[in-house]
Amino acid sequence: MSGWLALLPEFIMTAGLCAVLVADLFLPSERKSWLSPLALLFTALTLVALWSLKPGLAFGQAFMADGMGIYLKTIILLSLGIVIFSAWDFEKVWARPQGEYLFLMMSAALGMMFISSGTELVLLYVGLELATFPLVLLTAYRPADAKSAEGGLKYLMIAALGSAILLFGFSLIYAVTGVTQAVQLAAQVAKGGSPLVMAGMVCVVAGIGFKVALTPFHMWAPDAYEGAPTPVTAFLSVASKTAGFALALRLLAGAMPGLRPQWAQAMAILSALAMCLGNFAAIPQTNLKRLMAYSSIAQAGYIVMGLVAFDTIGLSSLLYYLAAYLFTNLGAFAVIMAVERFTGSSELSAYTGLAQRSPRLALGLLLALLSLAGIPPLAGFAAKFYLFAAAYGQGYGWLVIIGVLNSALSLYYYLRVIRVMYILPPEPNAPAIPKMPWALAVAMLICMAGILVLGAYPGPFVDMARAALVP
Amino acid sequence: MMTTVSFYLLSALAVVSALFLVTTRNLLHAVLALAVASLAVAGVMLTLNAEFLALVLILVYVGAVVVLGVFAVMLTGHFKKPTLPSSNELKIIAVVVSLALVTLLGGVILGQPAVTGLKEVSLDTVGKLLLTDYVLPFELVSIVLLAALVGSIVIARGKED
Amino acid sequence: MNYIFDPAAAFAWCLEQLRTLATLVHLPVMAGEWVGSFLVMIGLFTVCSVIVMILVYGERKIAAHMQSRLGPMRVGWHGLLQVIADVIKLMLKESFVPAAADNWIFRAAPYVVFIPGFMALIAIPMDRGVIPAHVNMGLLYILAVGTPGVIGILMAGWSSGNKYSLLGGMRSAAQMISYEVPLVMSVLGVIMLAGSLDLAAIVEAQKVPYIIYQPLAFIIFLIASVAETNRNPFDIPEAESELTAGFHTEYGGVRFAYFFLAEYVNMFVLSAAAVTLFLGGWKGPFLPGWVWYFAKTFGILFLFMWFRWTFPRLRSDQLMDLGWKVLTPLAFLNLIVTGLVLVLLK
Repeated sequence: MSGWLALLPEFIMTAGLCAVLVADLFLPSERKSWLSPLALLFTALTLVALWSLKPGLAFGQAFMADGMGIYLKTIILLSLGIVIFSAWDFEKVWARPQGEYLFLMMSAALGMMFISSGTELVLLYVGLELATFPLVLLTAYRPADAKSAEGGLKYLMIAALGSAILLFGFSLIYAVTGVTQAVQLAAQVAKGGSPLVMAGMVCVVAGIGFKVALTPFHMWAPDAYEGAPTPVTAFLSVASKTAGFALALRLLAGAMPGLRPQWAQAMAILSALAMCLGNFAAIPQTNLKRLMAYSSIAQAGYIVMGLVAFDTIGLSSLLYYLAAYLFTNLGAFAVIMAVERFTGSSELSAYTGLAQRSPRLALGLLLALLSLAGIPPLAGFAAKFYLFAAAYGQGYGWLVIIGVLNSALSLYYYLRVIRVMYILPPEPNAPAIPKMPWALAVAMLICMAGILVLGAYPGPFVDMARAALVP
Repeated sequence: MMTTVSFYLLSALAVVSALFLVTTRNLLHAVLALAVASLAVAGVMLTLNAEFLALVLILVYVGAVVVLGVFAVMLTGHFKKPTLPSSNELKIIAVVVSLALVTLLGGVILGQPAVTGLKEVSLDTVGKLLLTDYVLPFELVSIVLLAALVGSIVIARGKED
Repeated sequence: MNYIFDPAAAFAWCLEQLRTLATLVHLPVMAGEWVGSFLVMIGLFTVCSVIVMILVYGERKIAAHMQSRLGPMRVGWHGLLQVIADVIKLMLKESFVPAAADNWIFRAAPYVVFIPGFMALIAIPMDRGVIPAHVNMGLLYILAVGTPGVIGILMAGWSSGNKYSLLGGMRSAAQMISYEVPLVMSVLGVIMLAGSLDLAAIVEAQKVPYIIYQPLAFIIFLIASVAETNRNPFDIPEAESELTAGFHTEYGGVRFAYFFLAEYVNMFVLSAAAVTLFLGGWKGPFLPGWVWYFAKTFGILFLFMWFRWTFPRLRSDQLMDLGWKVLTPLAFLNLIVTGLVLVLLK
């Protein structure tokens, strides 16, 4: 029965989300803020259980708590914890029920955990549904707000299309091979891919593209990011993307390594498209959440390079980039949350003269944006450097050139935000920004520390990512 | 012989009603066409000896999805003339893309050697597999449903009362 | 050979005669079988109609006697031919399509309501070996083919172009969906006991009628079937005091007759299912199986009629409360207890 042990973190998470739901039922309405500590407690317990697992434990052939799974789950749980922590009083700020918000966030995280460790097609698919559906509901969490409803609807339609395509791909692959376990699938595929398996693979690539918002499949991202309550957007941008890459690692790298030349080619093209479109479309944006959406599309384009390279360096730098992305994006969203809390807006105009109104917030956003652009001492630089090096090492020079050019381009719109904050004077009647709530401040500090430490001492973290790849 | 004829007839019915579904501008007719298409697909599955799948398809699609769809159309208040507001401007591109996809996938599938020697799977086997090899996804589905239930209620309730 | 005690043999004998006939007129044996199954269908339809006529007559008589009246007395002995007169009247009436109606959907709706009930009927065993169409997963089949009926009612309600019809159709569909949950959940206990979805096997598995082991499930099944057939006390879809006649407001003539037929066929199917699942189907001492089967089924049908003339109508919200807050949790409880007991006894 040692197989069940591999599922211990997932069990704790399930217990946690049930506990939140039940506690929500019995807590009087003025005590609803106790739910966040409860959710955090269970997230922390899950993390402890996760780290005390022996890597390599497996539950049959469907579930594998290997190093990669543990690494990815750590990122997902950290982002869940940081988001819950920074949006401590969700109900007060967003005027929507807290208990269900926490429950849906945790169930999405549970789905992502199953994707991170799933080594079987059916489990991966159900995990994907569980990871996506609560997020769709959370995006439309404020139906009275037209943007939230629109974002939720678009996300729903396109996510449904994406998972339908993925499932169709699975069915084609299953029709030929007759197996659903990754290990057996890899062996079958290695014997030579039939055209039907290739068609299935193309569908799988497209399905992954929908999940991580690569370019021809990115249409949902801007509206969903803008419409969702900001904590949800933060979670969506980090955890959902991590889960998408987990899916890619499990399906393409884990189950179809034999078809690597084909899917790497497709992924390289998607990567180039995503980088170009994301960065160009981000330039005219005037809403910071929307801008972050396009930025995240471009970031997904960079991250895919690691998958395209598909060697130890490439995959480990992909994992490392996800860690850097966790702190960088959550840091940026912590500032957006703070500004939105006091001004009620995420439009760029709300940030005018932020440096004078609240120097700390401005500094936080400055660090995060520079890290996203890939400026040297910060996490984003190191991460991008490793990725580009890996892609170049595998002969994808053209992709690296596109990537470098795009990084330069991205600096333009990141700097535009910085200019608004630092150079423009604050408008006379701009709402005051008082002291930040301590939880949000702590969350922001954690993210900033992460950006600086990961950027300054990448060595140990890269080693960690590399160690995670050892099966 | 009988089976082959019914297979092609039912497939044709499924395709025709699916086409009607996407081209009609009356939403209610579209939903009913979905019911016909589902029934036809269930019939196709019956001709392929997939009894359980066919029955579940009817139960889920006709019994739940279509009825919910009809409800939705009726509750939106456009029950007198439920027409879509505008036609699809990308109609031609849509047709070209679908035809290309059908040709491509059809070609690939027809090029595949036919699978033979399939044995009929009894319901016993399906049940046992669901609770042994596939127990994780099977149990996980319950959480998906719980999340869907909770989330839909929160959204449908709208403003906190 | 005693065909009264062995309808299966009677059935086989008929088929044998047909085959002989087919060879006599130089048709392939196959055609004989096709004609055979066609004749079975026709026969079943006739049986259906006869059953419905008996039910309609019975309902009127039972209602009358419960209210200290006599009921139909004029056409034939004690009004026995009244139903036939009614059918002739309905057939001769003009089948009218209102101007506001959605023509095709309006015309199709009665058949969409009727066919599922008829299709469900063919899978229920009437005696050992006598099933018009043997389906391996009979129970699942009945539940599945029964579902399109809801769509028919929605079609009728919507296509009439009449607000009473629409309201009636909506209420009816909401009710049928809500009560389908406890209905299916209550059946699961029986499936667990019998270990099969095959209706004949379920009957054979009943050493004692399952109502002894599953009394709660039987009660839930019975209440849910009354609601599924939209009958009093759950007849809010056609509550005549508020909705004229619900979704059949605009229907007349043959189409109305089909709705009528469908309602009674559905009643019969659900009663027959209750008998098969909980009361041991055709099993019983002394009498031939099919007699027991019909006797038990008509017993349940009598219960239905008794309910109708005893209970007042529920309000819409009370109806939903009963379904979701009482019957569904009870059905789950029953399922859990059944499972636990089965595991503990193993």
